[in-house]
Amino acid sequence: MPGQHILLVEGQDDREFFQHLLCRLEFDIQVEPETPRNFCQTASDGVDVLRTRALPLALNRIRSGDIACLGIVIDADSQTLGYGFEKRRTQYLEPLAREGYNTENPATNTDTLGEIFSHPDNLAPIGLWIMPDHRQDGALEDLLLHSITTAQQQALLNQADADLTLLKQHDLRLFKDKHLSKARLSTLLSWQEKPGISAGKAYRAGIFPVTTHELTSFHNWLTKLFTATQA
Amino acid sequence: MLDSLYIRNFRCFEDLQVESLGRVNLVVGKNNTGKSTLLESVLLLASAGANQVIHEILNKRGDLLLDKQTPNLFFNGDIPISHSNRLEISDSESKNSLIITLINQNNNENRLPMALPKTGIIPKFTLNPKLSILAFRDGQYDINPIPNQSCTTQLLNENDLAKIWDQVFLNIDDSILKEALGLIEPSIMNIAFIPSPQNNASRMAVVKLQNISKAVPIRSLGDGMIRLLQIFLHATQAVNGFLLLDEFENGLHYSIQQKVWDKLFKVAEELNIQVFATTHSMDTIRSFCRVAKADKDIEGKLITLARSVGTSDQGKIFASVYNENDLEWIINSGMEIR
Repeated sequence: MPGQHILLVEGQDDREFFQHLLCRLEFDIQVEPETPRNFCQTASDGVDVLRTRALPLALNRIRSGDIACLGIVIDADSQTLGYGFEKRRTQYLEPLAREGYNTENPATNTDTLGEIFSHPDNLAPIGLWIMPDHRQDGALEDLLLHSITTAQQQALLNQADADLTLLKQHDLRLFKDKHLSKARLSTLLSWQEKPGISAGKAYRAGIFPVTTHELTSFHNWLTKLFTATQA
Repeated sequence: MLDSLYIRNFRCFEDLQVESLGRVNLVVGKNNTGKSTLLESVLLLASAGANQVIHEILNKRGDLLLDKQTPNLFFNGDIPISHSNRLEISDSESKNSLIITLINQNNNENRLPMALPKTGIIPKFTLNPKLSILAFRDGQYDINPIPNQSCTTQLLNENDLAKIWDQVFLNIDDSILKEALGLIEPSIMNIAFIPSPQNNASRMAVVKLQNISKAVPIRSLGDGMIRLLQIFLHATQAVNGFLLLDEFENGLHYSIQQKVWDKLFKVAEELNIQVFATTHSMDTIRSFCRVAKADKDIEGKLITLARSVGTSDQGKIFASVYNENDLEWIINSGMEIR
């Protein structure tokens, strides 16, 4: 039986989004883990659980041939805590290098970002994408907010930003500043035709046009990673 | 109790390192990845390479029938040509290290790991007229076995169980057995083996149930009762040693498995037994995980065996070990562990 194509993501919300995205791209890729975010948080935050528990298991499954291609998508949204892009990247490259992956000279796309690591022993390739664009600090929410291009959605986003500023002025902003992108996206999605639509369903509904540079780069990375090992 | 396991040049294992072990260990993996062979390695270690055990291991898979000259005891069926190719099973402590090597009866000098007495050497197993097997543990070749019990995938017949019962019933507190059988039938008060009405030469197991005047054949209560009797009778014979359980789930409905693990964890601790079990069942893994996680004092570990697809070590079996916290997360994550 050929190995599976697996995309490792940080939590339940991200999993739902990527399932919609992969469905639209017509990729047969399983998104893991299914772990509810609250369960992840009993051990640590989602991203550390992904690195300390899901990744070691995935590496063993690669060596046994159960996984034929692995993608990892993580956020780098905690610059204030020292978890920006560079530190996140280093954290993930270390276990890959220990497993023998060629992390010194990864394959990079000429027309986009993201990295793909090969193994000299012909083990499955592993791709790494750090949100939002594999360059800057941020999260999935930043990638989606950057992808807003229609006048109507941009107007809604401007209104959301104005309201969030107003909340701060009235000392009613209960979330931490590092979660501003999540709040902006949640507010925008709460004002859609179906209030509170999920990011995944909003993507399927075309609220985030796939022609934007940010999403196109991400799509290209996914395509390059997973089509390289398609039967 | 073994703290880890290193197996070298034994049947399908070229060079296997299991980095840590718990009191109760569950071994999983696809077919032909060495689950039963891992149990056999512990059996071989515990028995100090006993002739009977080597015979049983080879006979079970028909190896002795196929080739009596070079039976498949060593990796790839090769005969080790020097001490460096010896069969070795050990943990991190030298007292548990078993080395099996060959002795050429005409000239044994260059095959042995140490000097031996000139006389009194009795080979454990004879491969052919010239080559015999010698086993050493902790540098000694004349060694006592560690208690060990193998619980096979097949349900034993009651006559065989009666023979085990005869060996243990005067020496053990039979409450362990009654409590174990009570997991399925709580009204069990007592158990006995009586001559079979059909054949006086064989015996059958019967139980006394509350509020029923006559004894009831245990077989009438289902295969699960036979399996429980088999598991826990063997456990009572493995005090201070090893209990090896091939395909734990055989005969046990998934709804009862958590209770059986719970009882087995407690019995293992009480009788100082280290348990090695195998399974293909996700229900068994889940129930094992719940018990291992809940029982903070008794360590449970899950060992996965798989064959590498890497080009440099293609087909080589490797082991990964997961503790209770890893396992709980993996099960909740929906990621495949078998």
